[in-house]
Amino acid sequence: MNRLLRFLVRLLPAEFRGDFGRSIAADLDERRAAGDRMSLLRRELPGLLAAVVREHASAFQQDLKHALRLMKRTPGFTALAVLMLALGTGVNVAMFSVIDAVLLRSPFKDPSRLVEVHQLSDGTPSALEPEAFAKLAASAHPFASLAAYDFSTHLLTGSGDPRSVPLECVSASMFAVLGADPIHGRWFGADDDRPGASPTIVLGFELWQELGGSTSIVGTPLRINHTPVTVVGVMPKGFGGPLSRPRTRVAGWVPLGRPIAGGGHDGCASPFRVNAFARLQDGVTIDAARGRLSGFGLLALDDHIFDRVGTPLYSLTAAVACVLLIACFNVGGLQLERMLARRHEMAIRTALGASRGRLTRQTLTENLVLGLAGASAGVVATWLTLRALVSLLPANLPRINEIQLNVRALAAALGAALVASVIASAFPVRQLRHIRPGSDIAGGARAGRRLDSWTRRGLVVAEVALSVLVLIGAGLMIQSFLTLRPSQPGFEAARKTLGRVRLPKAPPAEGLQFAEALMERLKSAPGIRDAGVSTILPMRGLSSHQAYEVNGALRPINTYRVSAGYFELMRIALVAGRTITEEDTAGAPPVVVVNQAFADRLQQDGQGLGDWIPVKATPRSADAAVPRQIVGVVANTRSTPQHTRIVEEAFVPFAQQPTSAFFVVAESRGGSDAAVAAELRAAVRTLRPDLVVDELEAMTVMLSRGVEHWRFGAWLLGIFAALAVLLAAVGLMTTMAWWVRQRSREVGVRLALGAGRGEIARLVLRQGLTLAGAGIALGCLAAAGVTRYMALWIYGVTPLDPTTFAACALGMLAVALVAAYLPARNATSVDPVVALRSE
Amino acid sequence: MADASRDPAALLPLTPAMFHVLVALADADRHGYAIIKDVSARTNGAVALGTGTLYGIVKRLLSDGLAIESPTRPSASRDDERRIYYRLTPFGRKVVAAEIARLEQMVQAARTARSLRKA
Repeated sequence: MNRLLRFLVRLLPAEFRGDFGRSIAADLDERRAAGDRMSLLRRELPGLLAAVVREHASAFQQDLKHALRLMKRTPGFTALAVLMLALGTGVNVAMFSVIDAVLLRSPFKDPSRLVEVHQLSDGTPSALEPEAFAKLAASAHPFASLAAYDFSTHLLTGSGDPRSVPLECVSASMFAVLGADPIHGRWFGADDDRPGASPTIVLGFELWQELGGSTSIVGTPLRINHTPVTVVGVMPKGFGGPLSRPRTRVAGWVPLGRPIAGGGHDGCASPFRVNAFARLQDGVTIDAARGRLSGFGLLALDDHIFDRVGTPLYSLTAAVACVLLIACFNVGGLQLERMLARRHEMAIRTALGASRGRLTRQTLTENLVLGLAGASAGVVATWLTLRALVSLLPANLPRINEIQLNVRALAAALGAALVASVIASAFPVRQLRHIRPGSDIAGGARAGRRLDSWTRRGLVVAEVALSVLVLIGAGLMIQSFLTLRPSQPGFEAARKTLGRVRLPKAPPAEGLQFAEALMERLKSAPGIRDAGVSTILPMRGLSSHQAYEVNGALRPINTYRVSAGYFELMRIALVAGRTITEEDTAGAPPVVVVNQAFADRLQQDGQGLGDWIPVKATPRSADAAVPRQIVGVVANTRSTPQHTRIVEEAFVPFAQQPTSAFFVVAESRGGSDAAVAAELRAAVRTLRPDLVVDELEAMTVMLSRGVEHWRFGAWLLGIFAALAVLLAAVGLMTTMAWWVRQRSREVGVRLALGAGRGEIARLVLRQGLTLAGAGIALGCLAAAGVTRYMALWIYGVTPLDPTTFAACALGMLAVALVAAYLPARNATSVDPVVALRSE
Repeated sequence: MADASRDPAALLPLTPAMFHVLVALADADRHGYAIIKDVSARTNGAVALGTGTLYGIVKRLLSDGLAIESPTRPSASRDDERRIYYRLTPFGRKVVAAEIARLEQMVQAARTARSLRKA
């Protein structure tokens, strides 16, 4: 027989082959003997191929019918299994959608060839000095294209309200580097990217929409920094420049070589440093490229994004994978139980000639149907909850707006369903090997019990271990969040709105004049109770250091320059001395107020209230230090959301050290934040129509945004841990219920021999808690091995925090106790007479 | 499957290939290749069944009770022990007869169209 034909015969389903395989072989042999080989192949190949497809389809159809019948017959089991798999696949599909948008999908062509270029000084990477970039660009570099960019806020006027727009100033070659096409118009050419060229801008999708979204905008001018700038193109939705930062959604791109200066704004003229991106030449690996550069470092663009968001996203993925695995183990355990109950049926079918392959396939089909039903339900659930999930994510996650359920997510759901069916089938299928038609038909469902009860118990142990693992991860995250949560930042954020004002190219005195006029106007506004200014604000993550000479050494201290009444406005408690008042004018004696932490340090050095300390306005300035008198001590405030460490801080009067850029804080009389924001904006515009207020937001929003990273981690991991624990509890409960059913005879005997009901309940509880205990121990061990990968993301607790581990272990044990209680109670209601008679 | 209670008409119409296989089994028990050869001879080579198609039909015939495996085999010298011989059941015979009657009726009906008579 022809080898190809023989192969096809082997592809036929085992049953069909068993019935007709030998006949087919005999026929083909005889045909071959009668005719030539080619005609044999020509005549037989199509028919056999069709038979392979047809027979498999028909077998699958039969299995499917059987599976559906079985599911209908046991609606309780079906509902439970589908629900568990829906939870498992649902959370995975949701997480996949997030990772797909944030990490996997790229708006760039061939993103794996994109690198970020750093300048290395003493091995430390930093952005490039413009001269270094020019040198690199002129050298024989390993890049197909190389581009630089800088970032600056520009002023847009003449299109609705004047406002700040964040623009990236990029080399014309950035287009070639990133390889993204404008949807309208064109990208800059080299002609646009040189001094003296007529100024041009490429709009981002969102700004284009804001400006009306018409294609006729290409070729028309916008007023940027009071300069007419021609729109040459529009980029597609989702394109956000090299790093796609969402917080400051890049509104557009202007040529770096032709900065748009005007009206006091200098655009990106004379940048201090530039960021550089490059596309590697074809066939050059990143390592090879590194070898050809000296003084420059390379980082794959994917790694850059990964570094920032990789740890949290992969921790969450690991958590949802655990949830799916627990769901699979649960379904697998239940299927195992069903397989044992159907052992009799399976044995009869084996005796009647059903091959093990056939029974395996049938089990797989059953689980596939369950898996697909679960995945479908999971997808629907995800679709309904994805918006809520996205709202829990930190707003500064790259490409967060692109998160959606797409074809890839559906493929992921299908993949999860397949994986789930295979895992859930593995345990019952293994069982098929032990079927012995002889003894099993005679012995009914009872034979082989011992062996499988070990598998089942192992599954429960694994489930508990996995859920403890997720629980500990969530515990560490929740602890971090609770630690960092700005419940007591040292000031009162309620009813306050802040905004940032910048007077372009204005001397400090003009800044002071404007700040005073603005505060006067705000304090007389109807909805505003009080207002003040400060160069930096607590919990905003900005710092500004001045050097204080203490015992001959210069100490850099985070220094605020605040208006009179700032402490009263912010409700920062005065500890000693006085606050900064209207009397602390430019001409008055220089004073400084220090926080408690700095006061403590000064006291150690023998200085305190009333003493004079020399201060340099910048740590490096060559100016002589100005002595300032310490007039007050205020309570500590938290300076940044990232940590709770109290830093030493000082406050000098804004009037004595004014600047042209500052924050303004307004406290409402109880009206809405939006109303205060509108009054703030109106006050600034009345005083200077060309100015805008940036970063306007309620102070409470600022506080919660600072910790959103931890909040979303705590929430999501918390939810996943709750699901994991719930599923593991269901697993433990069903397993113990099964164990009790299996042992009803033993329980009956014990009861008949005079054992008390309490003793029986204790027996079951002990068994359940032993399994849970083993799982908890394993879970803690596993957690001890992996929580260090979360180290970058947790705060205030160590990855091996004993309190968290102990709390999670105890929590799981308590859940296990409840889960084992119901089956234990059932065990005590066994009627010894019935139990003994039934077997 | 009690033949008496089953209506042969329920299985009609038969596919042409199935019809030919039943006809091939009408006069003698045959094995697979013998069926293929008989069908080919009866139709002057117009119907050439492949083994893949044939055994799909045989599976249907067996499960529908139109044919059974034949208990009698030729003498050992002419036999290949891998072969299975098939025999038409009385019910199968009824079904093929019903199909012949159905086809005859169709042809009769067609003949009443005058313009088709010569063709």
